[in-house]
Amino acid sequence: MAFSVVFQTALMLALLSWRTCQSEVLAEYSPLTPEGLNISVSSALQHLHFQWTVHKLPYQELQMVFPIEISRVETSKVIWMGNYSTTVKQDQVLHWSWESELPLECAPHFVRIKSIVNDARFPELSFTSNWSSWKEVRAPTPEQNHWLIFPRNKLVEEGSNVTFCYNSARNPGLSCYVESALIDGEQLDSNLFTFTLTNIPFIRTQGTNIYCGVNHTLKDGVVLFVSKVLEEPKNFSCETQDFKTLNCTWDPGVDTGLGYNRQPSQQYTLFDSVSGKKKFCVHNNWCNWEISQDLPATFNFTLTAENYLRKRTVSTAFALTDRVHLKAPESVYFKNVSATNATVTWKVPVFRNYVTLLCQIELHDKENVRQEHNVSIKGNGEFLFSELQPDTEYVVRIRCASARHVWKWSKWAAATLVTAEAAPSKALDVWRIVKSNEGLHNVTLFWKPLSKFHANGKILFYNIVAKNLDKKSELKLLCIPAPTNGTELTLDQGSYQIQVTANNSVGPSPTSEIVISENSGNEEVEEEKINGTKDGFLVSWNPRYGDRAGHVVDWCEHPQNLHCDLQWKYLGSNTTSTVISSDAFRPGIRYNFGIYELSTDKTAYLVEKKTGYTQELAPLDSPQVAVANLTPHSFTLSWKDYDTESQRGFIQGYYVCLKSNSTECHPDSVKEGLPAYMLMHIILPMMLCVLLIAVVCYWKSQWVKEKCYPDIPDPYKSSILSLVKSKENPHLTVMNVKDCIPDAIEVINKSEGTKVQFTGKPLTESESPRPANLYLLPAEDFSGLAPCISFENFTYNESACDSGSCAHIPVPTTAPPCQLGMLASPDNSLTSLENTHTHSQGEIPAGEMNMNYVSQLASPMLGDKDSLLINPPEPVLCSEYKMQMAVPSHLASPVLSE
Amino acid sequence: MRARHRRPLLSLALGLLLLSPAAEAAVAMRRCSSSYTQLLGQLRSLAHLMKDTSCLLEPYIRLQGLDTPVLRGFCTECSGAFPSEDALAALSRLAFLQTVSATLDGVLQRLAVLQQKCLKAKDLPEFHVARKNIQGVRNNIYCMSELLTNGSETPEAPLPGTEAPLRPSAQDTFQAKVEGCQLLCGYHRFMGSVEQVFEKWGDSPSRNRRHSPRRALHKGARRARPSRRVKKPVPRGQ
Repeated sequence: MAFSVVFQTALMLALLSWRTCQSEVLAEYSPLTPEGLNISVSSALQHLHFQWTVHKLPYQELQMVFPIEISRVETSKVIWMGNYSTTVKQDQVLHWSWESELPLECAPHFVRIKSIVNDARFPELSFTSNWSSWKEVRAPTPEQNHWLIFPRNKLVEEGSNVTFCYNSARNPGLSCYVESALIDGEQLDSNLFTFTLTNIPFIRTQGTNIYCGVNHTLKDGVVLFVSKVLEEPKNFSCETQDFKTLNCTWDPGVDTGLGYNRQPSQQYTLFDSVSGKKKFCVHNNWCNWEISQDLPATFNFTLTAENYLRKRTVSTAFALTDRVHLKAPESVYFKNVSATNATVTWKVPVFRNYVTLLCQIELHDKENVRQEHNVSIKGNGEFLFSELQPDTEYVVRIRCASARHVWKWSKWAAATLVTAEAAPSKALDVWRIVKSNEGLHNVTLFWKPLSKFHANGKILFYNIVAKNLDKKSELKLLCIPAPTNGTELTLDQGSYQIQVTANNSVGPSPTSEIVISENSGNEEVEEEKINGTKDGFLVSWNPRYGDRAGHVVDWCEHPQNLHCDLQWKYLGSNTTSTVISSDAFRPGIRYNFGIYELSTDKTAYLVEKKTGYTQELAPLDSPQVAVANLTPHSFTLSWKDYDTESQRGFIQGYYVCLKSNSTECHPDSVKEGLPAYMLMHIILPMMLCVLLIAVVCYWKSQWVKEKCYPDIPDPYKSSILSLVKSKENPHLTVMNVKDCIPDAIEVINKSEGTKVQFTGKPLTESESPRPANLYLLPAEDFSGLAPCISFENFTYNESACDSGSCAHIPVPTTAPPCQLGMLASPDNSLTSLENTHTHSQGEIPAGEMNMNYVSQLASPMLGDKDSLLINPPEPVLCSEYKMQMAVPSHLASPVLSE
Repeated sequence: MRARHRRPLLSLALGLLLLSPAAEAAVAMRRCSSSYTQLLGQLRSLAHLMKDTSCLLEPYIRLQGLDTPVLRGFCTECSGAFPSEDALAALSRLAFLQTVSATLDGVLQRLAVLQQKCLKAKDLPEFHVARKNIQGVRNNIYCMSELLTNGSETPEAPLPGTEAPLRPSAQDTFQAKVEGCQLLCGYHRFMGSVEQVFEKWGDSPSRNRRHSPRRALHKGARRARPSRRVKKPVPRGQ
């Protein structure tokens, strides 16, 4: 028992002793309170920087926590509480920063701090100190008395949020604006207001203006500098042209520089992690890097873009040989240049000649790339071109790249190559015109100039050799200088072989050969008409001779010109048709085509001739008509035929129109004499009917009179004479043949164009031929209605002629005053004769140059057509309506006389 | 290095001057015209041109974002560092010329600072033109002074120079902005006053009126800076 009491007492003393010892230790380290608290202000960053120490650490280092409290305006308004945990070492000065949302200049801040030992290694040291005393912090404001708004000159990035404060203590009613927008502030204290701008946009490099005023009177303002967000450099790459320098380029993106030197444009730095070298780049989109020859040719570049607010980096790693962008090849020359071959040489300005290069070579002519080659070279390059065209200008282009890795091709280097000339490679295309004259052959030779492709150089002259095939010894030699394309030869009537060659500086072309036979130029072949179209002529023929080498069709492209521009076309031996087309073909121009067969000995035989128009046009002029053998009852018309070459269409025939003088037969009124037409077809028949009735009545009255009291006939009371007693000549009682004078003759040419007019497509005035009106004037005292005769000619109408009837009347519904009929048709003439009180007219076939006209006087024999020409009636009276007729000369012979 | 670069720049500037409104003034600097009428005409034309706020002030206001009612109102409270029209009109012709030249010299310096501090060269090309025009006026003033001096007109003390008041004072960006604005406003108004005074000059170089220089001393004058003669202006581009 006593032992246990003693033991317990001893234990208690021991514990007491330990506690005392412990208390002593704790008492010894209790001042772990933060000491020397120093607070500095960074107005620009709105940071409070804390600095303090902890004295007398019991160990080398200790894990501690420092609770911190920050108040604004007054100590009781704590705006932030937090802990700062760190490992504290002996005699260490501790640092900590706090960023204020509100500008520190707006209001005083108060801070205090305490410490807690929180180190698991030393649980016995768990200890919390007391708070330090409050420490007041005021941001310095150099012109505190004048500045009302904070922060000043702040720099932020686009999209940031910024809180402003302003003090209205000295300016009651102070209003603040961002640019021109009024801002409502939140009252923080009695005179302190704040407002926050969120997601701030970039407006200008000169900053955003924020200002305050009273009644529009400016009191203070600040500039908020908003920077665009720095972008990551794009398309960053490096390459070398010479293995000495790397040229790195990139797209910098937007410039983040700001005015008032608030932020310069972003700077760029290049860092190679392989070599550890760094370079500040002067330019904002490129930088050169010197390559060390003693280092491995690999790089790992980091490009850093940096401004006051941000850094952006991009990297690229590569081997130098993979980033070779060579300079354009140099010294491109040609050697051993012949007509078809040439060798090109070049140099590539490469620092390291051991690098294998791949080069592309292109050979261009004026139009296209003719050859492309890829060659591998080391150092200088050389390549042989073959299959070149003689006397041709080529452009050779060369570019190269590293064969190991084609990063980029160099620029093209170009040089011009001109190959040498060679002899012409093709025989001339030769043709001829042969005209026989007084036992001689006048041969005109033509040839087409060789194309550049076949000439192989500049043609200097043409050699012509004419051999008399009958007398082998006879030779004619001619040398025609270029660029002449033809010549004339006069040969005798024998057979000649003519050889033509083109010659350049190297030699002659293959020989072109034609043979002139004895009969050349004397062939008589009937010409056949063909119809052309605007696309040309389809020329076809029948083969004549079995043994033939081919065909030739020739024609003149400008037949109206002195030099007809002879064209020809060689065709195969089995060809029997071809289409001849030309841009030179024009409507209204007659083109003649000759078709020749070529024998195996190169002799050409004319086998067919064709002629035609691409489009026929109406004649421009009417024939010049002359009148001869003029009698009261007949006359002869004659005119010259159109010149064949000047015909604008095939002349098929001529129309002669005979009209009454009452139709006012005017040259321009042939188609416009509708009133006269009406008169004949409506008024005159009516008058005829009335007259017939009157005659019947008169005849009946006479019959009664004769039966009852016959009277001696009085010729002066004839009914005929009653008609003659017109108001124009009331005193005339005896019909005088002199009064029956043909009045006018009108000749009108009509071609197919005219026919088109009748079918609804009118000719223009210029196209329509003017009718040739021939007026046969009466005696001086004759001033009454004078009949006229009108002629018209018509162009060839195949269907009409084929049917044997050229007597078609082209105006069935709107007949002109003179009904038209073909004089070549007897039936038509007779039909016309049957129509009393109308004019007879006819068409004269082409080729008929004259015509006899017989005046068909009023006669009781009307209707006796068979006797009309054989036994013409004696003219008794001159009727106002004269039946007239025009007949071809071969039908009208002999000419009827009075 | 800089001097080497300046030489071609000088050539370029001189070349441009031949095309600029101040081209005749540049020629006059090298060889002054003896025609009083011609010089006066050029000075009037230049003053008329330079008083126009659309040449400089308005572009500046737009560039700086000062085109709001409050800020524009503040801008148009023109700097008082420039002599008033009354003060200028009261001066003798020589003193007037000396005062204008000295004032424009101060403006040139301020413009250079303003351009260097707050603008990139590309931002406001009107600054470049304005500086060339000022130099042109100063050159013409030099020639006119020579002409009047040869005519034995007695020089008088010019008005106080404007160098000190026109020195940049604001460290704060906003203040620098609005002070630049007020400076340009004062500059335009000053050139308007100068034009008015030139308009009152007679067509003859002979003196036809006399103003008391004392009257001007307290009208717009801040600090006297005596100068007997107008300094020969420095060629542009240097």
